[in-house]
Amino acid sequence: MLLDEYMDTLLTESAAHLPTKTTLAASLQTLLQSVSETPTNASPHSFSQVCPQQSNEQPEGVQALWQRLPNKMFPALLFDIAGVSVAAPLAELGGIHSYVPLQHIVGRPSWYAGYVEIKGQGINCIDGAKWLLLDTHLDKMAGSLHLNTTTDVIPDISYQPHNEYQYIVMLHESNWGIACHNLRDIILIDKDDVNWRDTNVKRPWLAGLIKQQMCAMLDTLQLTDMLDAGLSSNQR
Amino acid sequence: MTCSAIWTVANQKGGVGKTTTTVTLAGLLAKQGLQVLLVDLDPHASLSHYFGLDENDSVKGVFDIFTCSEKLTVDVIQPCIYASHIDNISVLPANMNLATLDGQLGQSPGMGLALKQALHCIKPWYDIVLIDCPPILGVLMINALAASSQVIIPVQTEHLAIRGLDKMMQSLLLLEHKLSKQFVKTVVPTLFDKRLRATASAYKALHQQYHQTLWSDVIPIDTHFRDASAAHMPASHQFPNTRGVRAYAKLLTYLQQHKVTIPHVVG
Ligand SMILES: Nc1ncnc2c1ncn2[C@@H]1O[C@H](COP(=O)(O)OP(=O)(O)OP(=O)(O)O)[C@@H](O)[C@H]1O
Ligand SMILES: [Mg+2]
Repeated sequence: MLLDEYMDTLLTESAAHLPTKTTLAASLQTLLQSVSETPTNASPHSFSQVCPQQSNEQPEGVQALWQRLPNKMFPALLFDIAGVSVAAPLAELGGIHSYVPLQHIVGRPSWYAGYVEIKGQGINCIDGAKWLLLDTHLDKMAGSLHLNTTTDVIPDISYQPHNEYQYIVMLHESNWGIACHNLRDIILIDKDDVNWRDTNVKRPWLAGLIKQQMCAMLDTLQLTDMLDAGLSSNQR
Repeated sequence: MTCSAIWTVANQKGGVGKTTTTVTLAGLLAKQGLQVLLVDLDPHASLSHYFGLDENDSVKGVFDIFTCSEKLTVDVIQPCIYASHIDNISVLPANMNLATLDGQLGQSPGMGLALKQALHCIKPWYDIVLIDCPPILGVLMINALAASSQVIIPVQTEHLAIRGLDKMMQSLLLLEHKLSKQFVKTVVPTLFDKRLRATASAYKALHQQYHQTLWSDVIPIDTHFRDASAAHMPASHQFPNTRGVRAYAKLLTYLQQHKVTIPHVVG
């Protein structure tokens, strides 16, 4: 039976990608002069962050950060992303790595900086600046962080931060890490010194604002839930 | 993000809604937050056209993978994949050159496994791969099926089309035997026009012959699909609340719940 033989040949396991193909491929290439040589690495469409119909479901069972923290006082890491100061409770961090070149993956949202393996752990790294700034106008951003646009250092959107990232801060036990520019300090924070936000509204990843340090408190669990769902910082 | 499902949308008959099914399911999967890779194996590149990737032959794509003379690695394959204008959808495009493959490489040993090898290299990056096939049983469709675990077979609800389905099912059986694996097969009635009596009797015949693999619902005729294709958009994104899209959403729920395991995204 013809079809039978045909399939047998095509599906010969051992012959797959053996040198015999090289000559075939070469002759085909010459036959088809229309095949241009342009290696198009760049994607013809820039990746846009338009996703109008994302699901609005809240992750179930994730308590608000202030509820999860057992004590009134808790230690937190302060770090900088593009001039914005960010904090996260030490108890919810999985470690810190020095920033290394990442493997870029096409098709990922712009906030996805890349993938890297460090000491056998596969890490998905978020571009911290892009995450914070995504689709957010500078003023709005400054407003939500209670920054004063005239006196405070505010992030410059045109700034290309990824060349200068220094660290990857790992989020709890997940394999997500967030790239940042600088580690500032570890401080003891009083729950009462934080303006906690209602996490059921927009940006559940932003747990609140620390008044004294003028800094944004991350909810790492909410953040990784959003990352796992492929959402952007301004979605949900 | 470790294991991905690979689905092929195939039928040896043309114009039955293969490309529409591929694009619409991809759109719905992308909305769930899953990373979707679309592979266009049709030389007419109508899937690539949706994403503006069919304009010229200089676009790298599936053809470059089939004719690659080196070992297939991530470095070879990545330049052939493009981010699309739809969040979470990437495309491995086709072009007209693919039509020459059957003549040139169609008989060479092992050629049916090239796509499987290629997808194996990049599998970790995607939650699901959807492959759109040309309506011919040849080296391209065999590549798709060899790489896949699930086959979605759109069938126009019409007597002639159902006769064609026999051929497709026989080919699948033969391939299952050759590959020593079983596909999860789902026959999907498409272009269902409830106003026509012929449609109803065709559906009945379909049900009699294929009740085991037949999806119990239908994809209705809906002009929005044509409009979405003209707008280069998956109908799921352009007309999310139409009858046709809702029917595909039901189909997807069925495929996800009853037939296949799609990994839910884990970091
Ligand atoms: N449910 C539907 N209602 C109305 N029109 C549809 C529907 N499904 C597909 N179409 C239209 O029918 C035509 C053929 O559909 P499609 O291109 O998806 O089929 P195909 O099987 O991929 O064809 P080919 O074999 O040529 O690749 C297209 O113009 C498409 O817009
Ligand atoms: Mg088609």
